[in-house]
Amino acid sequence: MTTQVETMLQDGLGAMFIVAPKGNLFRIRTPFWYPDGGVVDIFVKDHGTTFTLTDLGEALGWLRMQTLANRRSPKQQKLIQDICTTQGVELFKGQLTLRCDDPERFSQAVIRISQAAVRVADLWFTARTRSVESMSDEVADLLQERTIAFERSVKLSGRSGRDWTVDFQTRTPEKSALVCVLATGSRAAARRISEHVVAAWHDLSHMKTGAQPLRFVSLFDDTSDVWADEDFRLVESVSDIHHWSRPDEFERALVSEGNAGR
Amino acid sequence: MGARRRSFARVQFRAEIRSEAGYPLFVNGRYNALAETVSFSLIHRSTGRVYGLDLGADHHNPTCVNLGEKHKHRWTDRYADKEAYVPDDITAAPNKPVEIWRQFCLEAKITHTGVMDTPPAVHDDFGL
Repeated sequence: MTTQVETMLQDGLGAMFIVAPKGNLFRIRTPFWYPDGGVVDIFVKDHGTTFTLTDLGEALGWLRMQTLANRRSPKQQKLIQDICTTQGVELFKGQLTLRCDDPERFSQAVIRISQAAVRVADLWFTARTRSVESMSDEVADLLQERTIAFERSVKLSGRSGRDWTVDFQTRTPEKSALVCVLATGSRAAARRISEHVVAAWHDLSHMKTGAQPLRFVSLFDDTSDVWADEDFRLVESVSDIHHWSRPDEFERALVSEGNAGR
Repeated sequence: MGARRRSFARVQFRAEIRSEAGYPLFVNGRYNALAETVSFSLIHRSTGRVYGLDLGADHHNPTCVNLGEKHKHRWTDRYADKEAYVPDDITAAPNKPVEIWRQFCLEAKITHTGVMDTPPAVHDDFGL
């Protein structure tokens, strides 16, 4: 088997791919690298008439190791799906996989899954710890994608006379809303942010009533595991709370009448 | 330690690191039994990985040196976390993540007051 895999690779790609047995699989060491210089390994299982190629979850594992996020953001999920579609790769149990039943196309399959692994890991370049993109940027992308009209960093005067900057004001034919985004990687800062948002909503509460009432929406970035139940309860008392990991619910809150809270 | 099982073959955890200086540091760990890879990374909240150990996968330095399957990343102004070196203090095999964690903590001067359990035996092969 080693000989067959090696032969297929040698015929198609040459000696830059090194094959070695790994348990009941074969490991192919590729010439491709993760963003930090780590080498991309692909694993092959021989089923007799077909081969399964997989990264055994190493690409997504590598991505997760570089950040504090507990979950992938909706935007990352979408990009990963896009990468898989482009490369014809399946995401299964956190691993990139690909079937190959034609030895003549084996080398091409190795290139495709390797490229998928590199591209998935490259999502690190867009991660927020890289300071390239903020949580608000991601929310703006989502609103744009869902064709919800919005204005960013809206300055509003509270009843106390203090000015507050709200992250977004959205407008649909049915409803307008103010959205505060709660995002941090620190538990220590989480409470402070929650209290700040509560103060803002309280001071702006006159905007919830009247002929054109605004819905108050607090959007928690729950990709970081920093929020305590008290934070949610605190903010829930003055606004509808939503979670970034559930973008569809967030969208419904902005476009539909009535409460679509937590 | 708050380990999270991804599957029988993969486990991972994340924990906050407390320091007198109050640095916003976390440690991420993962073990992939089928690939036989182990990684521990110290993540600074605003910078990303500043220190880390990888076992089981090769590494290529920006200076075009291949380091092999055991290497540590340490932040430098020039290369950020991309430059690695071969550590002498990690002697445990890649299928011994608990022992590797102990050696990693010792060198990184991390005191782990909890318990890291041995990962469960591999019962599946990711549905391959």
